[in-house]
Amino acid sequence: MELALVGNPSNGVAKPSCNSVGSLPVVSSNAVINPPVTSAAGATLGRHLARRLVQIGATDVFAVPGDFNLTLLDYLIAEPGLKLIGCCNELNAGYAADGYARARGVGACAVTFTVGGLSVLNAIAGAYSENLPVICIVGGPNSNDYGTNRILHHTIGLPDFSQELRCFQTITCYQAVINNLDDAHEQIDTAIATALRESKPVYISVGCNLAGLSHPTFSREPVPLFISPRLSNKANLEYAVEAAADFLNKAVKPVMVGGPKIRVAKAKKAFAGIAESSGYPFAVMPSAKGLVPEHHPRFIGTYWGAVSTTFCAEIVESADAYLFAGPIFNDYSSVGYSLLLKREKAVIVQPDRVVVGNGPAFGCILMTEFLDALAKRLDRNTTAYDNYRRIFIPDREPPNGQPDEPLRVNILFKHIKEMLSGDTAVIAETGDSWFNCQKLRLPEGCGYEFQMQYGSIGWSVGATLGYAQAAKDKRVISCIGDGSFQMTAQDVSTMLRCGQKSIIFLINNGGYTIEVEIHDGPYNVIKNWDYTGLIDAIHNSDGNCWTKKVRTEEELIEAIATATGAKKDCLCFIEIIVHKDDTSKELLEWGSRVSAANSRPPNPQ
Amino acid sequence: METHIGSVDGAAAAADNGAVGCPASAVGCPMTSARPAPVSAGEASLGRHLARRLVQVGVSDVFAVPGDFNLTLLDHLIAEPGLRLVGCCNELNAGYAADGYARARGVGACAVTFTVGGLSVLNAIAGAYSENLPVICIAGGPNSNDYGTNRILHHTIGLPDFSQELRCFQTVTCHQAVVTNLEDAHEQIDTAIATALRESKPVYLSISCNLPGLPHPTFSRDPVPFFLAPRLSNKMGLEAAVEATVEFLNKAVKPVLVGGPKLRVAKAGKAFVDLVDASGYAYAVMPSAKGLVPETHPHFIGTYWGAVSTAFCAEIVESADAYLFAGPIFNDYSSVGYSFLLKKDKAIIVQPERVIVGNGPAFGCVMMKEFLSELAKRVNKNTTAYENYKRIFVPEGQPLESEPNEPLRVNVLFKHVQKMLNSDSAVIAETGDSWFNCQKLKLPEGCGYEFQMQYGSIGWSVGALLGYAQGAKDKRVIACIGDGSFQVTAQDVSTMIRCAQNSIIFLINNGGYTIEVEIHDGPYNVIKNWNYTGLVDAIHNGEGKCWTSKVKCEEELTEAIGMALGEKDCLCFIEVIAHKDDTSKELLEWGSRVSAANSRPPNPQ
Repeated sequence: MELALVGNPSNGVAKPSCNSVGSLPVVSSNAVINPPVTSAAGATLGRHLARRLVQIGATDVFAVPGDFNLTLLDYLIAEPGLKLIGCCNELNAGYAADGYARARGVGACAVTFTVGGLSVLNAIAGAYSENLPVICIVGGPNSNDYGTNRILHHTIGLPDFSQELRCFQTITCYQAVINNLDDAHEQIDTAIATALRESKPVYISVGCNLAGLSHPTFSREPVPLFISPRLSNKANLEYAVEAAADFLNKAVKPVMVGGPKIRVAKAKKAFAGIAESSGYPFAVMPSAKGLVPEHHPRFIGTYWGAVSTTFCAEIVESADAYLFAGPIFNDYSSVGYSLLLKREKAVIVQPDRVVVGNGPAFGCILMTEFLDALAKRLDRNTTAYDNYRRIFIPDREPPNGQPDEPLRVNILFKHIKEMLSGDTAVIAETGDSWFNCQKLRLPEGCGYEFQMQYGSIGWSVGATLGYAQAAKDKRVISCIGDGSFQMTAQDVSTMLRCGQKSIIFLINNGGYTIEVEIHDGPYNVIKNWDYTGLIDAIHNSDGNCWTKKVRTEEELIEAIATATGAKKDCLCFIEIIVHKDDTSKELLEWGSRVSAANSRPPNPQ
Repeated sequence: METHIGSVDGAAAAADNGAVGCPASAVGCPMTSARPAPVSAGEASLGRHLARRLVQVGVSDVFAVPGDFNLTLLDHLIAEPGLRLVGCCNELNAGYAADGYARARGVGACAVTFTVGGLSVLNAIAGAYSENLPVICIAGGPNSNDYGTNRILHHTIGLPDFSQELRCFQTVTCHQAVVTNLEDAHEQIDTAIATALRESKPVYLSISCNLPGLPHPTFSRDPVPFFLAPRLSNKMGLEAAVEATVEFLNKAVKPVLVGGPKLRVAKAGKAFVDLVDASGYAYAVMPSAKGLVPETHPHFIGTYWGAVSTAFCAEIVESADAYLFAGPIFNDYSSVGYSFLLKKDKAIIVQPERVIVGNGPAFGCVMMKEFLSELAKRVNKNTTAYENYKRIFVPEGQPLESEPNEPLRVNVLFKHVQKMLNSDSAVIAETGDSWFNCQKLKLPEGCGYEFQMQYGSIGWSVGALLGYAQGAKDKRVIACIGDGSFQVTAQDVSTMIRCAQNSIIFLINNGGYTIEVEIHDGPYNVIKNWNYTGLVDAIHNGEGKCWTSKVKCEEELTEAIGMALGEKDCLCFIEVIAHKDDTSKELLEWGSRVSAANSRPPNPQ
């Protein structure tokens, strides 16, 4: 989803740039709408922050209270249009802000000093890896305690209490520590604008005694943020397009592959456009699923080396030119560095950079503008696609389950595929769900989210909470393994409190299956819980919730019918009991290759 | 509990020598001790060396969450006889468990995977830092060949620089070792573990995922037990400090003693008692030091905690004309929002390595243990304060008897908890109202007592209970946990059942974050009410030994406690339903004072 948060760019903001640096921006005063004045009593820091959040689209804040953030939370609650959602723990609040940002374009969470901050850290690092603008708000110490020799509670017992800040410096793109009112307005606005511009998380610490105080800087409604658009260097753009068009038009059977940075480049539409006009077949990198149109006839599946969709890797790797839009080649997406790609055949398009073959490289070029311009210059060439059509044999459907036969995973996903539509979204937890969900062919408009680069198990519970809260128009279908679920299970509680109606498939196969396939040992076996019983205990007859254990295909069909029929306004939790070794074939192959990459012996020094 | 690491016997000889910089092998060298046995080639690997070292320093259980970067390491930990790997549901709980284990055993360890695991355990390690616990936090790291390359790895934030985990741990550990080659591994591992023990703080040990299985000549013998040079006082400084203190105290009319939390790290509990016996002074304990001084001694007058002290205790302490504080930490919580009525000129502050007498002079390099022992020999007996106390003391009233079927009151609950305590039990008090209720328990001799007051991270007690019970097999652990805290980390009750622990958990269900309610109330302090016994039953799921019960009145409580004490080898989970507003009177008073401290307006600049 694209962000629509900036003010009207026609407000004459391009003008000041013609002046030299250091001069005040010249904005004709009549072009600016005067923001309404707030009452003096309402002109507080807390309220300014709350308004700003609402304005940029973060209308739900995921919070865990603590004595350093309580006053701030009061002001967030008091803001009409802002809903505070109390989570069971900080890690889940962070994951929820991540999921929310995926659906809304921006997310926010609020925790308490250090004991809260260090617990949410892992979730914020995940948001960084996925280029999500998450605003992580932390209640900080009383402003008078900065620079004193006092030892505060919720610290590690030293008068220096900067540990939280220093940790966040490593995984956020900006940090604002607010311990005075004079600069607070600027600090808050800079932090939020930076998050949006960089599409990365930021950290805002607010002294616990400041949220309720008023200051003249807060006396008017915040003017909507205006974020200067990034623009390409026109000359460079022209060179890059020419070089790339030359390169691709010379090729016999070029293909295109979409990568995960299409999201941050906001180039989903541009990619679909060039895919349409060029006539090339196109694939998607595993970590970019959901960012390219899979209903398009020339979509040939997921390019993931040895575990690609059938016929996809063959077409990509045998092409004499390939354009990658926004790829990240890490050890997982390259299946332990086993891709058979040649740099001299590749055009790599990054959000603001293009590299053609073994060189040259062009900087300061926006992916959207590049793809749009390139689309106009490419000769239409369907050779690779025609080849694909020639060799393509459709995948066989998994054999139907016999009556009372234990449910197989491939049957489960056959039925999940039938549930998908433009009004649904899939959340795939790290683990075998990556591989099974990767194979789902997404209908137009169907959302798809997972966390492949960071791959922190347990992410999906919080992310489901956050995504469902932001995308009220969609029914979210989550596929979560038992090992991951045990990490973060508690926040199903919060989904119930929020009246969400997601469908959770809990795949109970008795352990950390993905680790089993990479490297097995007794540590991959977990305790078997009664998962539906657990959810019933959390539900405790307060809220709308329906749970069911499923062991056969008939039971599954019936459960899905109930979840999408009689219980369509309920949170539906379906525990799928499958055999421990029933995994996707892709996981088996991928697991052994990643294991080999992990265990490369040290190079001789 | 003191740790026994290596032999300290040769130390005095070493120190007499006095010369700095002479080779350690010259003195204290274990010529007499048995030669370390050579190990078979298959066991001469990095992983086995680390495993043997852990066992040697007293870690026989490592709390772990598997991940593909630590799987090989876990194999080698499991292979070590005498070392047990305890798989936890998530990293935060694994860290808290290592904290609890270190409290019982003197040292603890946890093992997690790279970044996604490390950043999740961070909060628990910061807590261990605040409590001076030597916790060895082992993280599986990237393949050693990936350092210094331009590759992007999974489980990172997507940059070729993957140092974020290390940089975060630098803020909350006293030493960090990143092991990426075999040549230095032996030294790095030994230095890290020795530093943790010497400093009594957590350390971070990252082991590249391709190294644990590799042999190296440095690992070819069993590790020699550590010889940690003892810290010794500067004899002259000690003498001067004792003399100044004796003069100060012997002049006083009614001096008292107060024990603080750093008695633990100074290992000075016994020396403190000797001083009590020799001096005849009345003595109190700071809230954060409960469990470190005997409460059965006749001169013990209770907890000194400002306005929320034990009755008659603050009066005696604050009216004394001299007080000796052994190892205090005065933070905003323990000083009840800075409301103490203490005067610096009347105080002797004894820190683990430092003594300050009145408003001046200070003496460094003085060990608390030696200082208190010397002082005991020189101080005049003076029981004036104690006699005053006896004169004004009126025993506390007992809580009102319950009517039949009257809803259970919290004070009645703790009356019964008190009766359960003996030298074979230990109490774990979660952050929250349990701090105040448990503070009032009179601990019989030998009864353990643990909580986390400086850091105060809610949810700590679930993991800490798991770890403490695993470390102290001779004790039956009684944990008092509020519902809000329990929701943060509930899942690892699962691991307690897998480990066949027999702890007794009192889950106090009062519908919210009560401690925050008393500091500052709002809708965020209300949580969803779960069926807690149902939740634990669902986790139990018929595997292992677990018994649960809900109690609503005193009769039911008495019966449940009877059952729990009878079921000696069973995890007992008792959900105590209490009224939302049924809190200790101390929490009410303390809450309003902390609230006032938090909301001090900014000082004029």
